[in-house]
Order: sequence, then C-alpha cells, then structure tokens
Amino acid sequence: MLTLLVIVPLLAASFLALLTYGREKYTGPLVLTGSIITSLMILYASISSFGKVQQLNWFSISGYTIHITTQLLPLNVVLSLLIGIITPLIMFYSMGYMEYKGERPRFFFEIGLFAASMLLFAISGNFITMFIAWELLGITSYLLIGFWYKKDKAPYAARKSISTIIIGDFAMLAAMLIIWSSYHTFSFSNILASPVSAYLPIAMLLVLVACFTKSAQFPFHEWLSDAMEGPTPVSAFLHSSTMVKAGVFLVLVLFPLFMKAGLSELILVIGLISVILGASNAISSHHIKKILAYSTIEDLGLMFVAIGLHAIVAAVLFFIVQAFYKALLFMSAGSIMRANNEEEDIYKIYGSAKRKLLYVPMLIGVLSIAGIFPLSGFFGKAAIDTAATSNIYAYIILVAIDFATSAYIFRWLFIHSRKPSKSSNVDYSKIPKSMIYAGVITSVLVILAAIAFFNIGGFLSSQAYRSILSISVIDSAIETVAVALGIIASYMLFVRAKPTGEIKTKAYYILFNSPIVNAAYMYMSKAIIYFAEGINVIDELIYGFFASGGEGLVSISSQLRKIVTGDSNNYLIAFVAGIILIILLLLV
Amino acid sequence: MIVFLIFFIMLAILGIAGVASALSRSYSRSKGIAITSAGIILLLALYSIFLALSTKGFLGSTESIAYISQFGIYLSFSATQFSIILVLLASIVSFAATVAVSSKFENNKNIYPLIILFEFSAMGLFLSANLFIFYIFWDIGVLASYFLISSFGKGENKHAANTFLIYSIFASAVLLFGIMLIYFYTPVHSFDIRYIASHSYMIPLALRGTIFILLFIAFMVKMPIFPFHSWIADAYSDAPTQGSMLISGVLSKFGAYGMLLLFSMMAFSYGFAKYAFVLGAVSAFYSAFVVMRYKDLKKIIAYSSMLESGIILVGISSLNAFGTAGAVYLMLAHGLVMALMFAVIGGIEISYGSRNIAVLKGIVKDSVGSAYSFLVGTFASTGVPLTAGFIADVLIFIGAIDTYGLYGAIPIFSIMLLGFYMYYAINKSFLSTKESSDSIAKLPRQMAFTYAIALSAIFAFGIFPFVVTSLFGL
Repeated sequence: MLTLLVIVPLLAASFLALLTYGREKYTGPLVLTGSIITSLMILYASISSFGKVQQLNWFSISGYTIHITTQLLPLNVVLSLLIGIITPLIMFYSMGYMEYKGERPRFFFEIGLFAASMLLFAISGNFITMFIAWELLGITSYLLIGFWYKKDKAPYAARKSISTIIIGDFAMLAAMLIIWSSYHTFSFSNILASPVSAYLPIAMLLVLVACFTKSAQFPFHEWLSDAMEGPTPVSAFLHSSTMVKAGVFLVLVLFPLFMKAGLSELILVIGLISVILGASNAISSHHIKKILAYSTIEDLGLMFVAIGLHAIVAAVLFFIVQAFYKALLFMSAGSIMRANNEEEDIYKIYGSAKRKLLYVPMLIGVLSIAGIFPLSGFFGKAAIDTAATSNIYAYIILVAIDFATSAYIFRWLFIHSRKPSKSSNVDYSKIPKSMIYAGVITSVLVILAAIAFFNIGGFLSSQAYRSILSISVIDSAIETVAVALGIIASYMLFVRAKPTGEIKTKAYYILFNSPIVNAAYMYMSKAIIYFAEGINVIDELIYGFFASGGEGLVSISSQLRKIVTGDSNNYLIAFVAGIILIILLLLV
Repeated sequence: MIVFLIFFIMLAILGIAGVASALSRSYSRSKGIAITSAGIILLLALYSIFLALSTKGFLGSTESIAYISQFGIYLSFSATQFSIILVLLASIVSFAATVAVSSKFENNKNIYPLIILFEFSAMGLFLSANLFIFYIFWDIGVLASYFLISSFGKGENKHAANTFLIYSIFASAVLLFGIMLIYFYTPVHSFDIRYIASHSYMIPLALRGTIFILLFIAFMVKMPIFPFHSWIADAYSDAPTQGSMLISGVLSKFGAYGMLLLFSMMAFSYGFAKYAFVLGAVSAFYSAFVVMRYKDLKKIIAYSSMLESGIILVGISSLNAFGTAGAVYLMLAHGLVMALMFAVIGGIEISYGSRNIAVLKGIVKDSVGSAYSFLVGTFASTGVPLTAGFIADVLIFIGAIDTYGLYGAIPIFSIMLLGFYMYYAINKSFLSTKESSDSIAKLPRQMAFTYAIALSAIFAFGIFPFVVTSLFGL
C-alpha cells in the first residue's frame, strides 16, 4: 500500500469540515470518522508496508529528481501508531469541548490539518517531505494557538510561538540545503549510509537548533507555556503526540548523524538545562495548564538527556509513555476548567475529586507521570535513570528531578482537588460526556503503555541502534524513594500548610524564572528593532542623497533658464558676439 | 512559425484591446474589453506553455522581420524556457489587475488602456530576442507605469510618479548606453541576444567592466536592489491597487529578467558574480530591517518585494542550473504574491479606508477573505511549503550553497526577519478581534475574484512545480 495515502482520509475530512458551516453538529463526527479511518489505514500500512521506503517523483531539475519519500521503519511506525491512537481520542474530546457555535468548522479544519501534517512528518523518509510537514505543523499550530481571536493574549501567544518556530524553520531549511549540497540527495537512508562530509557538523547543528525550537528546549522553551492560550484539545494534542515530539523524533531518526557530528554532549547539556528549567517553573507556576506545559518541557528534556547518553531505546520508551499520560492530564485539566468556569489559576480551582469518573483516570495519569510502579511512566523514568549511571552529574540531576516531578504533579492534584466552599459555583456535572470518556479511554491506554517496555527493544533492533534497554533494581529503588519523598513533601507543603498562593517567597522567584527568559526575548527583539532604526536612518540618508541630487539638477536648470529671457535683443547680442568670437578664433 | 503566430496574435489582441478600451465610452465597456482581452492572453499563454511542453523546437526558435536592416535592426521575437514563464506571470497578474477595482477611481475607464498597454510592454519585453526591442518595450512599460501612478494614484502620487520617472529615466539612459556599447563593440554590429551571447568574448577587455556595470545598474534600479531602491516606497504605496500589482508583480521582473539576461549573455560577467551575490544578500537583509519601521501595509509589502528581489539576485549570481531556475521560479512566485498582497491591501482600503496597521484592528471579523488571503500571502513570501515561494527558495539556495558554500545559506535568514515582522502585523491587525475597526464598505465581489486568481496560482505552482521545472529541462 502506498503509505502516503494514510493522510488522505484525515485531510479530506478536515477540508470537508469547512463546508459544514451552518450544520455544525456534523463537523465533529465527520472529522472523527476521518481520523478513525486514517488510524485503521496506519495500522494496515504498518503491517503491509513495514520497513519499506517508497518514493514518488515530485519534480526534477538539472538531472536531479526531488522525491516525496515515505518510510515505515520501526521508529516511523512507533510515531504514526501513536498519532493514530491519540488523534481519534482528541477529536472525540473536542466534540464535547467545542460547543461554541460558529467556530467548530474552523477548529476541526485546523486541528485536522495539524494532525495530518504530523502524520506526514511521522512517515516522511526524506528531508523535503519532512520539511513540508515540519512547516505545516508550525503554521497550523500557530493558527490553533491563536484560535481565540477574541482573547487578550492569544494573538500574542501565537505570534510568540511562530516567531520561535520560524527560527527553527529557517535553520532547518538551511541545514537541509547544506546537506543536499554535500550529498546531492534528501533521502534519510542514503544520507545515513554516506560517509561524513565537511559541512555535516554545521548542518546538524542547525538541525539541532530547529529541533530545539520545535521541542521547546532551552533557550527556545518559553513559547510552549504561552501556547496554553489555545483551546485545551490543542494543548493535549500538541504536548502528547504532535508538534513538540517532532524535534525529538527527528533527532532519533538522524541520531547516527548527530553522533558523527559530535553533538551528543550538546544534546545532553541542553536537555539537562531544560529539565531543570521545566521542573522549577512547573513547581512554582499557578496556571493549571502551564504547570503541565512546563512539565512537558521537562519531559522532552529527559528525552534529549537519554539521547545525549546514547540510550535511544530508553528515549523511545519515554517518548511513547509520555504521550499518553500528558494527553490524559491535559484532557483532565480541560474538564476541570470547564467545571470551574474556565478559571485558570490553580488556587481558585476546587473540587476535582467530586467527579469520580474524572478523578480516577486523572489519578492514574498523575501516578504515571510521577513514576510509580507498575504504571508506564515508571518504566520510562527508570530506564533513563539507569542509562544515566554512566554520568554522575546527570544522574544526580535526574534523581532530583524525579523528586521534583512527583512534588509538582501532586501539588497540582492536591490543590485543585480541595473541597469547594458552598458559595462557589463549581459545577462538575456540566462537563460534556465526550470529554469525560475520552479521559477514561486514555487512562486505560496509560496503563497498557507499560507493555511497550517489554517489546520496544526488540522492535527497534532492526533500525540498527543500540537496542539495549535495561532497568536496574537499585536505580528503580532510588527512583521510587525520590518519588515517595516528593509526594510527602508535596503533602506537607500543599495540603498540611494550606497555602493560598498569595505569599510569594524568594524561592518562588528563583524557581519561577520564566519572566526572566521572557525579558531576555524582549531585549533581543528590542535590539533588532533598534538595529532596524539604525538601518532606517541610513535609508533616509540614501533617500535624501538621491533627492538632493535631483534638487541639484533642478537648481542648475533654474540657473540655466535665466539665459532664456525671450528678449530678442539679448539673443541678437549673443549671436553677434558668438560670430565675432568664431571669426577671431579662425583668424588666430 | 507557431511562436510567431501566437505571439503576434497576443500582441495584436493587446494593441486592439488597448485602443478599443481607450475609445470606448463607458466604464463597464472599457473594463469588459480589458478583462476579455487579458483573459484571452492568459489562455494563449497557457496554450503556449502546453505547446512548449509538447512541441520540440518551440522554445528558442526566433522569428524576425527586418526593420532597419542596414543597421542590423530586426524586430525579432523568441520564447525561451525562462521568458515563457514570465509571459505566463505577466498574463496572470494583468488578468488579476483588470479584474481588480480600486475604491476611489472606481469609475475611471482610462485605467484599462494603461493596464493593457502595460501588459503589451511586458509581453514584448519577455519575448524580445534582441536588445533593441527589449529597450523599446522597457520604456513602454515605464511610460505605462508612470501614468498609472500619476493619473490614478492617491496621496502624493505626483511626487511618487516623478520620483519613479526620474529613477526610470536614469535606468533607461544607462541601459541604452550599455546596449549601444555592446552594439558597437561586437564584430558584426548586432542587437541580437544570441549573437551577442556567442560573441561576448570579442568585446574589448577594457570595456567589459563598463558594459557590465552600466547594464547592472539599470537592472538594479528596476529590481530594485540596494542602494537604488528609494523609489519603491513611494511608487508602490501611492499607485492605485492595479498599478501596485503590475509594478511590483511585473515591472520589477523587467529588471530581474534583464539581470538574468545579462549574466547569461555576457560570459565575462561571471567574474562579477560574487559581488552581485553580496549585493543581493545585503539588499535582502537591508530591506528586512527597513521594513520593521513601517506601519503602512503597502510600504511593508513594498520592502518585502525588495527583499525578494535581493534573493532573486542571489539566485542569478549563483550561475548554476539550480540558482537560475530558482530565480525564475521566484520571479513567478513573487509576482503572484505581490499581486495577491496588493490586491488584499486594496480590498482592505476599500473596506476600512485605511491601510495603517497602527489603526487597523480585527480585520478577520468583517473581512474574512482579506485576512486569510493576507495570511496565505505571508506564507508564500516566507516560503512555506505548498506555496510557490517554497520551491523557489529551495532551488535558489541549493544553487547559492553549491557556488558559495556556507555563505550561500546566510541570506535565508533575511526571510526569517521578514517573517517576524509580517506575523507581528498579522497578529496586531488581522487575527485578533478583541477590538476591531469599523468596516465602512463590503469587499466588492471582483476583489474576491482577484484574490482567487492569485491564490489559486500560488498554490498551483507550489503543489505542481513539475509543470515549470520540466520547462527548465527542455
């Protein structure tokens, strides 16, 4: 089967969604159906075309042909199955979430396109196909983040995300073309098989910058927390299987090239920095979704740490399990916000424990992200911890992060599950059913994802990476102790102490450092603006230069014009004088 | 013979249409004639693309009539794989321009003969096979644009038109001087482009630099390239909607096409290529920064047009198949994008009476079509895949990196700078509806049709690039 066809149903459904203005009850089911057909096709393709690389000619020039290439190697199968599972869930969730009249078709169109571009990314087998998907992801996420045009901050958040992302887009374009000029091919498999070229390190560095922008790593991480301005299904989607996973995935696919370029230490260091920044902001933020967003930065950082430590399989395992629990947590956050009148400040949200069908799945998600045996999150974390034993600094940081993760996620849970006062108008019965059930299904998947631990090593072995995946008992024990301490600390600080979120200590300002990063961005854009002003002065000078040149000509003309008096006497005198002059000249 | 037939039919139709619409009494009849003839020309241009793809020997064959044969002056026309694409561009943009309307002079019929005259000059210029004809059509284009700006523009349009004219006359004079030098220093005095190309090595060494610089400056003014760009800010912004579409979409391609011709005609210009590359890159970055200080949408788009011209020069100066093909592709893509953008700005001006992003707010609320068309235009000018701009960028920068190594990749980031500002403008004025400006008029249906023409062309050339690239292979 032609692998490229898998995106067609989803794409068709999302374009058809645009035709449903006025008949909006059909929009959701339409796109849901499209996404389910796509999922079934992914399943079929990953069996029938497994391991195949397929090429379609796109255009050819000066003897070279540019292909649209798709491949279904193990990694591609992992990501496309992940998308295939999560997309219908998100669509299902959105059917309940998107109750706003007049906005549905646009929303489902954009999110359908977003899912389709991620799927194209997952199956892409060369740089050009990947880049098409990469940019489409960028612009569809831009549209989705800025979806609420009416909101105060949404357009700003959208602009921030696109401004960060186009840095990556152009870095990627440059990298891709530099690689072309060395290898004269865009195909991943051909490039991976070729010897190192002189430009490879710089090209891979640019690819890495692009991956860091997409995957929200330091110093490009701040757009992700602002992206929370978008609708919640988008957050759930963006943080689990799409968009932010794109960067990590590309690094995984091209990992041998990064090794050859000697960039794995850089990946490790940036990953560690991002992990620390993510965790510290997550523990101090007050925004129900931003806590999860910072947690995503941390999760992605952990994946990069694993890649930097050459523990590819551990990274892939974490890649898979993180998708499920993060989708689940965002879905829960959206439901809670719906019940609390779209309140975002976690200290003003109450009573999430009231609706058991909401609370129990969410608890599964929380336990999984904290890393408690035998939930899927545990395997992911313990595998990375075990891999880090080779590097003592990384190991210490990771154990501290295990502690911090369980502390902040339980803080998140404890605070919004407080009992509401009687006067508050919290209403958990108004959450649409599809939002609840999507969460329930996802929580089952969170539990089932643990199976991945037992299969992933063997599954990936054919892609020739180091496929060893081990979890040592000691590291698991250390991890579990850290997590338990985190839960205790969280209980002491956020349940016993009954915080109101009003008091902000020094520690808060150290931990919550995102304003500093934002200020740094601000200064950078100001610097560009100042530079632009300087250039503009030059521009005015050039304009003035040419204008004064013109004025000079005009003034010469106005001087010369004085000769033309129109008086025939003057002309006659000049004429005679001229003749006399000529005669004199001839005589001499 | 077929080339001859098609292009003379084209030119004849344009000529007749121009006269007819000039003479016709009413606005609607004049507009009708203009739309019909531009439509026929568009169909003919598409047909000639089809012929070029299917018939061998269609491209490159020259048809000529003796004009002043004792001086070696012929009226000769030929289509090359590059010029036929620009003919297509000119016909699409002109068709879009005849369909478009501008608010203030909606009822002025005299704009249509000028649009047709402009299209006539573009067709003639892109199909000319000798420099004599090239120069004639070049000046006809200047004249048509001058009157478009001065008679139908707004604001300080007289000033803008004069600035434009002074720059253009300067360019024309320099160009004529250069052409004359070439004519006198080729062994058999000739204007024929192909003859000059094969005999350029016989031009005396001492004159080569002079000839190159003269022609280069002439084309630089038209493209425009830093530092001869000051006319665009005024000319693009004070021209009527149709005028801006034509001047930025097609007239600036006169310069770009000339530049291409210069590098393909004069083998000795290869030595100057690296300076041209640096100039193109500087121009691109320069305009990316200058654009950040403007709030007037037309000025923003004018400088983004200058940026693309810089990138075109980068492509041409790479001197390889990729760079050249990419430059032509960008001429096509950029012409279409400019047509779209200026049409959208015209539409916004009709709807809101302003085009200042400091004032405009929430355009998406009342003018959905304009807002999203502008967004797509931004995607296309920043080279997002599936728009024509992407193919162009890929080809150009492959070429530039092949020739100039890693330096070739640097100009890519000027487009990124443009992107920052464009998205700023979009989120400020288009896609945020917390506050929104009052819409004073509905978008005329013709404008929506104009958007549709440009949009469909932008996507068509982005998704099906093989139509154009297979022409390059011929």
